[in-house]
Amino acid sequence: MISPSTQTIDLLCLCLIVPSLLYTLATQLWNLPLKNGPAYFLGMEVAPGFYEGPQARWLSRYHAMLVTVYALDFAALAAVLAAGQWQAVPVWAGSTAIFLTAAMFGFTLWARRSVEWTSPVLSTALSLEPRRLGDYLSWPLEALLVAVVACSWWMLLLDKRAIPWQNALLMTWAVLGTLPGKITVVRQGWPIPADRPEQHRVAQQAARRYSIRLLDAFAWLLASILFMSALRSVWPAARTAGVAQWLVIVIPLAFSLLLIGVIARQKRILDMGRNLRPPGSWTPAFGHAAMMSRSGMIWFTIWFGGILLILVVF
Amino acid sequence: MFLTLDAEDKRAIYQQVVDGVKSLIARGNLREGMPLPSVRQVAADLGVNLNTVAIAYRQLQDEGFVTVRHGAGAVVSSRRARQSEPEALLPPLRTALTEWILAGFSDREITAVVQRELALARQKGDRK
Repeated sequence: MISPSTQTIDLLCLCLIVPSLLYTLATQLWNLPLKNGPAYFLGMEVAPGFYEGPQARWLSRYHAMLVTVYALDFAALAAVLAAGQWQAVPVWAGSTAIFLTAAMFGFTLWARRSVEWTSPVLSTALSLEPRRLGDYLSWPLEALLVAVVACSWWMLLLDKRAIPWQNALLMTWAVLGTLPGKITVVRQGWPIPADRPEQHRVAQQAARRYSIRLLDAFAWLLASILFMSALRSVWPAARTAGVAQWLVIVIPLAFSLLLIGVIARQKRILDMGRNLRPPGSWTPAFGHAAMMSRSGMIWFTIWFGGILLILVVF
Repeated sequence: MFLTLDAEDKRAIYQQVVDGVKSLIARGNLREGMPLPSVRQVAADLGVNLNTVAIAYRQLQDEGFVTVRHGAGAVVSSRRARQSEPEALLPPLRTALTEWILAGFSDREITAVVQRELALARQKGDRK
């Protein structure tokens, strides 16, 4: 069997990442502001005629932001390929994900602060069904994930060559940081409007489970990349023998497909909440409309900030 | 199972939670041994301070309806209030009846309202 070169591996990654990015743009991101219907913009209730009047420029701004982010990402990729710097492809892929997430998050926060927003005040329903971590998280799987990361580090430390600190720390931080993220997702709650409470509760529950599956798929993809790169460093056959080398590539690729599959399932969640009030789009009886809970915001800032810090420091 | 908290209700949030839980217990929707969400979950779901919910749970515990075990959550413990002596329960009923009389309602009307509310209080199922 022919052994794949590093360039082949990077080319394979590109063949997966570029179509995924374009697919996400076309099917998920482009119409995201309208995902709850024409009465909403990015999950905020807006006045009738929002998309016809002068406020419609917010949609143009959103599209301009997306086009700019994608244009910059693909320009950077073109520069990397033109310079023949194939080893920079994984860094480009990671930076693209971070840049896109930061841009989307920043734009949503800016829009929520600036758009003329008519958030209605509604009576609140309180569900008396307890949420337990064990109902959402599989502790044996979480333990396995930690074991995979620990095993990867053990292999990296066994290797006499220099440890790729940036990649190893980045993956470790990103993978282990998903567990507090998942706990936050379970504990985080949004008020339920007193109108059709059961449908809102079921939709919130489904969204919560979807977020956890998404974090799981992301964590397993990164853990598999970390494990396989550690395996390559200690197992000579993984660098030379065809079957072993392909095995090291195929497993992360399988997890990438799993992640894409989970992302594609978002449509079902969107369909479920189509005729319901999106969380954070209205002011509850006590309190204010919030896009994210305080604990969610703290977790995201620490996790995302940590990723940026590792990228900057190393 | 849901409690409805109204923005225009004059009662404090914690009191609405206490009254709502007691109402569900009285109607048999919440039975002995059934778990309730944690203080943290209720506070997150309502978007209110933890202390507000803690006060409500403490009152329910003091009245003997709920048992709160640290780390294990809250459980419905009884259908009967600790203070179930008629003498202790009469003052709020007298106050309410006085209000109705002062508002100009006849005895027959007050009796009809009391009977209807009593039937509702004992009725099983969610009251919207």
